[in-house]
Amino acid sequence: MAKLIYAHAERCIECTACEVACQRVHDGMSNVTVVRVGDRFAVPLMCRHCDSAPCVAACYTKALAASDGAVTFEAARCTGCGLCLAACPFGVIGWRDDGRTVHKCDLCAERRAAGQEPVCALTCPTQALRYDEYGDFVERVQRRAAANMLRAEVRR
Amino acid sequence: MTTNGRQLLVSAEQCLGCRACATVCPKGLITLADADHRRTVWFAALCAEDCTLCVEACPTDAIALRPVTGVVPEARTALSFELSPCAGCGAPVATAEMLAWLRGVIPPQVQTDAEGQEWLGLCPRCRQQGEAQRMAREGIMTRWP
Repeated sequence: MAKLIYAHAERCIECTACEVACQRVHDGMSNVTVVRVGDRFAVPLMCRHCDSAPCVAACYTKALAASDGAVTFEAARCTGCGLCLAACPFGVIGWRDDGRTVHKCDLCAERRAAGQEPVCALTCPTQALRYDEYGDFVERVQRRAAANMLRAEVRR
Repeated sequence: MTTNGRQLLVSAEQCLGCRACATVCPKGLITLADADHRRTVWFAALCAEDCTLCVEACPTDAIALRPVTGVVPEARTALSFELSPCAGCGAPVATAEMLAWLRGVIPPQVQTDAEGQEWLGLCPRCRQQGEAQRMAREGIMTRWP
């Protein structure tokens, strides 16, 4: 199964190193946004590469397409209609500075082609962002939940 | 005026008020402006070029280019659209026509979140906030079980 970027929200410290790293690799425009929640939490958000992606359904030129478990974007086909932006449930597609096309997480396609990892996961100091397979991500979440339960028991 | 060229015809019923034609036109014959939750799109009456980029870019085939010679109206067409306000913060999201079109192409079960809330009426920032809050709730349960 394809690897995607998964976020462990409780590990995010809002350092925004992911945004800076992503910006550097993507012409000065970050595809990841760190969103603050209340005063104790922050969450990094980017394209989820949905299975039944609404942006792909909306893109009538097929600039956005499902490919190998990810959603790819071909800028040459983009007409700048903005329909995909309105179609994304997570608001993680944005306008480029020229307002003529959009941008979103591409899982660092160029880096992956060179055998490298997406730069946000590589940079994240707390491993809040990881480049993982879904099964491994779930296993990690379950293991931590079990450890927490055990810790709570031991404390009693 | 008399000219050889193409008359730019746009269907008010089909046009979604998206920005595709305005974005792709190499001569800037189609322009738009957003103000006060309204979008206005101006279409030049006449096109002296020979491309069909606007026709190809339109998601609803609302534009046609009809070859004309002789007298044609000079006045450009202006179409006006309401920009739907975000159900969360009131900021303009997209034209009502664009949202209706999206409701027609996005699978219905995807149009509501896990709690049954419709997200199409929210702006991107409020959608981000909603998702961040959902993830934070799970994170809270992990940090402080």
